[in-house]
Amino acid sequence: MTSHHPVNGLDDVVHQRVRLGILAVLAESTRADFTFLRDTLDVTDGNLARHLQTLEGAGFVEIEKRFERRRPRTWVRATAAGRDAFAKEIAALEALIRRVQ
Amino acid sequence: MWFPLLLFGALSLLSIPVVVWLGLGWYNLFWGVAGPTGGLLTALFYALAGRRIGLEVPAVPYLVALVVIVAGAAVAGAVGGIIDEPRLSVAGPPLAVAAGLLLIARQTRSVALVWLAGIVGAVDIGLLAACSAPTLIAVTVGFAYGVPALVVGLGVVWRKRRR
Repeated sequence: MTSHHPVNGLDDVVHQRVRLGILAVLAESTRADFTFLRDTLDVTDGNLARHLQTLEGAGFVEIEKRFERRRPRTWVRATAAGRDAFAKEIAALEALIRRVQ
Repeated sequence: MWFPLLLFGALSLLSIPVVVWLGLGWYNLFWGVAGPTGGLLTALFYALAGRRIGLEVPAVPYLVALVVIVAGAAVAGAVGGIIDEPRLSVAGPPLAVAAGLLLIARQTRSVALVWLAGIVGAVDIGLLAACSAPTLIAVTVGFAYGVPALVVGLGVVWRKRRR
């Protein structure tokens, strides 16, 4: 019975608040830049960078650094694996809510 | 959200003197040009705004809304001409606009746009049922969409500037 508990469907990489927030923003968009994510999720530059590295390492986001109008800009987009992982996380959370309510 | 509200609100009010002074033919021509042009300007606005604030959203839902508006308006106008019912030619396009607004409202989660679409749709259907004069329908719908759109659009701009 325990192996079928909904919490077993939660992904530790995705479930963390900031990483879940990043994937939630990216799930509804084509791509978002570093500043937008930082301000939206109310985190510091260093904190966001660390979580982006984790997601990039898992293959859930792609990070593109470029110069726009001579200023550096970092764009982040969710990969197919990232969108899939986010959808599974939401499904697991929904299953958990259904179970405990 | 303020840009399409202000743009289409202004165009709606601008369409009133067109239909009153120049007639239904010019009115249909006005919307035939202003509708798609306004839709493309809106799409361009969202694309540039997304790039500026750092959040690019998929263009497909907005393009679908634009297609619904343009195709719906064109079909209503054509059918109204074929069956010789100018009221349909005048009242049909605003219904297509209301449908497109609902699609955009769903995408942007905008309650204001839902209300606006509802007002336009209700006024339009009511006029279609009760009014026999196409020019009066055009003028009333122009006011019914133009005034709330401008008020809501200016309200959104005002709130953004206060933040």
